[in-house]
Amino acid sequence: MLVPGLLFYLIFRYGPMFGLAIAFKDYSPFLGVLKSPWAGLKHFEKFFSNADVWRLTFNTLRLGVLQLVIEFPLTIAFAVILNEVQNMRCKKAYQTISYLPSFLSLVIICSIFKDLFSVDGVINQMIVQLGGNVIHFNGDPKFYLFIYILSDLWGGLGSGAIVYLAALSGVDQNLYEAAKLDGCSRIKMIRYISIPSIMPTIVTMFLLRVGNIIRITPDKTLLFYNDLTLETADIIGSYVYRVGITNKSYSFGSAVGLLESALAAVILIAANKICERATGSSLW
Amino acid sequence: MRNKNLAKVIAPALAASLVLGACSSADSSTAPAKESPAAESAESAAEESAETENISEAADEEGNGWLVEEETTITMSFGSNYEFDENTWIFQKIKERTGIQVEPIVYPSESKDEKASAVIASGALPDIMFWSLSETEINEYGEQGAFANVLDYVDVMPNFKALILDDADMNEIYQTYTTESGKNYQIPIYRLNRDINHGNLYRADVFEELGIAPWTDTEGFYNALVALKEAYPDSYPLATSNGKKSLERWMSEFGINNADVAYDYDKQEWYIGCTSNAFKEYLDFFQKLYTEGLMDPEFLDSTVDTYNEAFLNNEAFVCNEWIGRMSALDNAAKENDANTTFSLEFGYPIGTGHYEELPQLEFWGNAVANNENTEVSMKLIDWLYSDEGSEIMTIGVEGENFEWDESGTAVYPELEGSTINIGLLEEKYGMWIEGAYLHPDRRSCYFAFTEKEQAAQDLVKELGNSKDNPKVDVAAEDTADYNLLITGLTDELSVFRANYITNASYGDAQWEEFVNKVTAEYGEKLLSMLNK
Repeated sequence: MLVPGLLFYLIFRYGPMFGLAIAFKDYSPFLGVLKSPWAGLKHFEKFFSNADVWRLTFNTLRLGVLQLVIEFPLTIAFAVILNEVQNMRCKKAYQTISYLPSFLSLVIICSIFKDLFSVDGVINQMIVQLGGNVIHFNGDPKFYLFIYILSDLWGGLGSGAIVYLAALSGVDQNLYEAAKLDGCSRIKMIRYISIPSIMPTIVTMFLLRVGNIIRITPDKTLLFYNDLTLETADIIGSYVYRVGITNKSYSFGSAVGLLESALAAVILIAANKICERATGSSLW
Repeated sequence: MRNKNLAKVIAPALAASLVLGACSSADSSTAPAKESPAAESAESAAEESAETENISEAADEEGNGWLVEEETTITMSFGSNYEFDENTWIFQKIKERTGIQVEPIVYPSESKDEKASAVIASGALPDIMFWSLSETEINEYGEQGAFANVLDYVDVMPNFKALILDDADMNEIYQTYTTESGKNYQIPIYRLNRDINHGNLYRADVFEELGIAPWTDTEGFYNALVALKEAYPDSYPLATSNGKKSLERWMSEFGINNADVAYDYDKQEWYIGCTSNAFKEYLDFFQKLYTEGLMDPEFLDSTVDTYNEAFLNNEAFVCNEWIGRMSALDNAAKENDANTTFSLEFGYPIGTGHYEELPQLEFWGNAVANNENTEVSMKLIDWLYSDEGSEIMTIGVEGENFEWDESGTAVYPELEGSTINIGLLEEKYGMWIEGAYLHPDRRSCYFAFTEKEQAAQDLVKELGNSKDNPKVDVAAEDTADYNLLITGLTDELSVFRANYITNASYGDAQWEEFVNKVTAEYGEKLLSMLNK
């Protein structure tokens, strides 16, 4: 029974790790992994000697932490609030409306937000109507992260809440009824029943997100940034994309990717330890 | 033996998965692509006889005269926004004439480069690639045995030989791409270019209405924009259609052939374009336009749609664009209002007063894989250079999908009522596939200029061109470092240029700081590779 699962992991999860070797080689696809010459730590040294390395790392961590600190609790809060809606029709309507943006492609979501915040977009029109001056949101690094996180929330709040809604639906209803008989308010029920009941789910989801603090997919960054926001927006992923894919520097891109993964692993292990001590729940 | 075979299968797959895992690709709105030309055909085509005789024998219905003894299938990869398969009209014609069945592998034009990069990482190449590989990439991978040396197949490529190797001027250009080992992996496009494809355009009707004389120099250009702004205070007279790429087109008018590495023909040495005084002049000029509200404040995010909207709504009047936009926008305006006087016309260059020359041979990164089908692939490439291949690929088959009218224009009965351009011919027949038109027929719609386009060609001939960069030649061992440095330099200069133009407080102090930084971090290393 174990064999299919074991094979899956060996072939599709552990096998590809063999490819990490190209981070230590001057890889050429036409020489292959084995025949490409060894380069030692050359590509790692190149990355660390790059003038932009700290800026890229800082930008990546800042975005990852902001996503974690803002989006993660808001998603839980949204799920809990939705769970409190008593009218089933309303509840389903809210859930459907919040989930709909998940069906839109990232390109469309980014285009919507770029248009909203453009010089002649809705937001600027409102500002002008209220007597303010036009703000160049899309070209101002100060607003970049705000727009990025806002679009994340709009596009992912509904779908992100599903896991917590599923966990909340599994909470024993007798607990709520007993609390109600004891005169417990809704806020207290949330605090003492709902949240503790879904704590293992919250911890698991938290740890999964912590592991991705440094591993941010560059898709949205590539769609959002321009030359004016590049210094704030550029993250490791978008840099690897430009160098690794666009310039076909596969070994260098892989070395940076490997560093990124190693750092993510360290953060994940540390977070897992902290969670284990603080809540008793952990991934392993 | 077993282990070796297993490694051969798994290694490329693993490498590709790692690379893809590390760098997941976005829908590429950033991907850079060759700008496909398209043209109007209102005027009859200039009759220009083809340069060579068709050296390969014409095939008959029984397959006599085929390039191969029996039907052979090869794969061909290219970028397009249309769907093709082996039954597409063009591939059927190629099979009829050559005996070679082409299996197309099509990537969306916008993400072609990323897809090609992933395929290269796998090491499994199609037989023919009409991609956008750089010359350094082609030479590097070619030397590693991935691509075929074209010079080894000259015996089966009489048309290529006649057009390129036997022509002293063309051969001189072609040989600059030959590697140190005497090999050449490049498949160039022969005489694609017109005298001008992109240039400054302006709303002639608005200029006339306001009594503004079309500019002939930079000062006149600026004064015209100021006058337009006065007449239309809510407008941004200067528009762009493709973010910073549009802005980059003006650089050559200021005498900078490239912002990263550029060539000084007088001194016969490379220099860093963005550290030159000409680049500073260019930045100061556009900073002035931006500060005075004369150009679109969101020029970095501009698209063809925002540009069209601005022009059609009198919110912009001047741009640097593909000359085909003159008729495209004139027609769009007429569709909105049949009585409109809307008229976009071609204007003078600013800066040095010259537009950049367009090369006779285009090297777009086409290559043939080094495999068991190489000879067949090379024969097909050669057929694309032949008169027959040229005509079928860019005009069609007379009596089948087009007829010549009295004025010498190709008329397509199946496309009656449509404006014939290369995009339409690609969509309908699979002709004009990007990169595969190795020898465009001068009688095709691409060279059938409208009156305004012809005027643009004539003006550029009269003014003369500035010279383009020569080929960048980097030693194989320096290629990886060179690419990294260019990426860093491009990022640095893009950020600086955007900030300089949009920030009126930027001036000499920031400029000097930028020049010192760029020179120290990138310039010295890059120039030491190029000026060896």
